[in-house]
Amino acid sequence: MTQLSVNKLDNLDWRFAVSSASSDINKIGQTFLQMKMTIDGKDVFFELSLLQFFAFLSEMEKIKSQLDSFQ
Amino acid sequence: MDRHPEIKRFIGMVGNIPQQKQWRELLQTTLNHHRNRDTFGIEPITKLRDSLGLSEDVFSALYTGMFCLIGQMIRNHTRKGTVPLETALAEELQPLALPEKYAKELISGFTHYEKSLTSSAYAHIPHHPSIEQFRWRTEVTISTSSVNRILKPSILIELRLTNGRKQLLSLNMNQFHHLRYIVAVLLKQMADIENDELINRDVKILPGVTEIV
Repeated sequence: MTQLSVNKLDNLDWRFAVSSASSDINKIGQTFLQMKMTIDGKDVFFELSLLQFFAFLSEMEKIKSQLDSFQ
Repeated sequence: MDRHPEIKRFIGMVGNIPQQKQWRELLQTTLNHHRNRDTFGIEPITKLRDSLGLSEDVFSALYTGMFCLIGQMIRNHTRKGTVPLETALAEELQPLALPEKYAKELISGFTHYEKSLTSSAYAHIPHHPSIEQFRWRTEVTISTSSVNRILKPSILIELRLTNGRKQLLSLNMNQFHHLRYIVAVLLKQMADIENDELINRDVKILPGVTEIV
């Protein structure tokens, strides 16, 4: 019997890159992380700057420590 | 023009407008309708109908006929010919056998608003959305979830279209050079068409482009 679930994460891929040139002058030499989440069969793309990624990582670490405390 | 069914019906009903003032009002309203197709409401038309004091059937035939007649005049005269516009219009309106004063007023009104009528007609040519904004970025992929060390360049393009839609494209080097090649070929073909003797030289597709380097 399948469990009821909403917005199930099927897959997660990422790419770490640096911009070398841009039509917007301020965006040169910036590192970023592009992530692709496959949710319910649909691909969702988003991009995080390094700061945003570390904030995201910090939240993930908090979730992990909460889950570890239940075990 | 005299074979158009709405215009034929209109010609048959011109007798319902005995006064030149009424003709002028009808002409002015339909010219404004053509000039401001997007913002023209129903109020000027109902105001005109009340002013002319005609029945619904007669008024709608007259208004539709005048609208179609001006539409045909715009369509036949959007490009500059060798004959002066007034002469060309007078020749074209002759088979319709309009009263002389009415025909003169129609020609005078049309030539007065010629530019705005033409630009409104061009603005309503059906077309796909075009590019409003083009932003790009070149990037170098350092690593991914599948491969540890890549160092591969790619190009990210963001197109904002005139219908408000945003399109993101990611191209590798081969795809980008292929896109460049296609754009160069298209530009060359457009310049060749512009230089073709069959195309009217008054209509410039790419102003200022005479040579593709």
